[in-house]
Amino acid sequence: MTETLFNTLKALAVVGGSSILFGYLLSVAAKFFYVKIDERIEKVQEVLPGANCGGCGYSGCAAYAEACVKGAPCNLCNAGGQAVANKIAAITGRESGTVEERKAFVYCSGGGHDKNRYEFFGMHSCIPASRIDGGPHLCTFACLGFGSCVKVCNFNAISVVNGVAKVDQSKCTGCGACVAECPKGIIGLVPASQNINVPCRSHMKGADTMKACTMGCIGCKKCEKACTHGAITVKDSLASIDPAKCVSCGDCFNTCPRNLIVNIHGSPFFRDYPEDARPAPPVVPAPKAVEHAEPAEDSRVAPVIPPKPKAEPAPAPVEVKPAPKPVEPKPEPAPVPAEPKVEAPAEPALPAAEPAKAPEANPVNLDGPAPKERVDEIFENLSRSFAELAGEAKPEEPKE
Amino acid sequence: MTLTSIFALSVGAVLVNNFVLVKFLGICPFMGTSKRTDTAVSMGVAVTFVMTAASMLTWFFNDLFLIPFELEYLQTIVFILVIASLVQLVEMVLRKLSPPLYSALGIYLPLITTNCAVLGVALLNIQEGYNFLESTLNGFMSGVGFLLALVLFSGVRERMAFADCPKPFRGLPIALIAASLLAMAFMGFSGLKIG
Repeated sequence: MTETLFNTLKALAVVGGSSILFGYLLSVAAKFFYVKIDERIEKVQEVLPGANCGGCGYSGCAAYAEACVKGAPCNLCNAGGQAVANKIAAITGRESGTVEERKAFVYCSGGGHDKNRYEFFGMHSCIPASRIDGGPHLCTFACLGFGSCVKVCNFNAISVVNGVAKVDQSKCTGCGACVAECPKGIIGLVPASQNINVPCRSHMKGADTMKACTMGCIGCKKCEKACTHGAITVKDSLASIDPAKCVSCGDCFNTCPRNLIVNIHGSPFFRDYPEDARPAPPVVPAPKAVEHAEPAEDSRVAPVIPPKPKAEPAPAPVEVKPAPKPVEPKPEPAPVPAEPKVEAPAEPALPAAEPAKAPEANPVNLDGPAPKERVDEIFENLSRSFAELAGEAKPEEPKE
Repeated sequence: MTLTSIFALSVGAVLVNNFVLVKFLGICPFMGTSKRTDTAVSMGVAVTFVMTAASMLTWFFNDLFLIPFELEYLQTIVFILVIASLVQLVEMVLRKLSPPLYSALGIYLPLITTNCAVLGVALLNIQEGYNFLESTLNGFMSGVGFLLALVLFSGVRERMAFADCPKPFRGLPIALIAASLLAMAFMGFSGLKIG
């Protein structure tokens, strides 16, 4: 009996004693190895969306929260937007910057998703498929439709519809995860206010594109001629829109022979309204700034287009127009060294003051493509500047 | 301990008596962290470290307190106590001394606390009657075997993610079937005798 009791006591002593000992040692160690955490990090982390998308450039929301408290800019979280940036600024006591609202856009129309060069039986994943000579489609720039971007999106904003990836604009936060993942590099980020775009990245020549895709860009330049803001340019058989210059007016929309240009948000272009009932073009709302933050210089705000001028203001350098036209050959994109020798005799005809006056003198006329005279003028000035840069023609003294 | 016996012990721990695929211990983290190779490697390294430290500490404890007082029957409970405290201590030390390492491996440490593979290696050392050095080596090599199994299986699972799997089997069922096939492959090592 006593032996059992003794054994029980022994057992209790060992187990109990060791647990007390370990508890004490751990508490001592906890004090000794105490790590001070800034509580603001946790507050910032609570405010962040928590998707760990990596759009801010840090490895996750926790990493970004720590960086914010240590001094990183507050406006890097695209997923959270301006609201989150302001909250972070409030917690860390710094200025919030402006968050540029961006959305992802897939530069592929999917018109060639059923036209294949070979039958593909491999892994249904974009990255391995793209390694096999660019993918099974005839167009090597096409979206493969296997959905690597879908797997990577934290917000369920992108999905594969009819063999091509498509971004749901209402869910997309512009974090850029899909942009980094796409092995063909055909997803891009555009400003949220951009309403029109060309969903194609194919540099194949027109004839090849026609065979490979029902909708792809053939580089016919009809849109480039229609655009009055110089926003859409065709290079290497591909039209692309510069969001800095584009005002989403819709001039190019109906000119595409392949019906390729898309209206991203579905809101009407202001060209589609009758002249006198045109609403103001889409304006990016100014972010709600924190009181000590500076208001943003938003160059993407589309200018309010002035109504059609009743009387054309006379362009000031009227005397310039006859001079360049008749004498020399039509300015072509010929190599620059050849031209100055031909144009040098005609140079004195252009007054030196002309380039400075040109921008105000010729207001943007929306009622059609730029006049031919104006285009010629631009080419003249350009060739002259290149010649000057190349050192082959001295800038002329103004001869009145 | 001769070189042959060291080699025999190592090969035995890594291949012949692999903890996951032959002894079927520690399957929870095996299934949980093997979806991607980088998490698998992190988990494997953390487990190796804890197994080694646990083998050493539990051997000491057994030798100093349990055998003199004839309390071998308390091994299971006491070892759990020792292992849990050890992991807590390791976590604290790691957090203080190496924040990058803590952010890489730290989340796996609480998962290892009651991992049966760690307790298993501690108890098996005693069962096999190893001395201190042999226990330590066995612990380390068992961890390496765990790491190996985890890395192999994560490679398999990453490929399986893109395969066209019948709907009822997608996810865990096909993973378990693949694990059993891998275990069958490791059966090829059984009966391997060195020295």
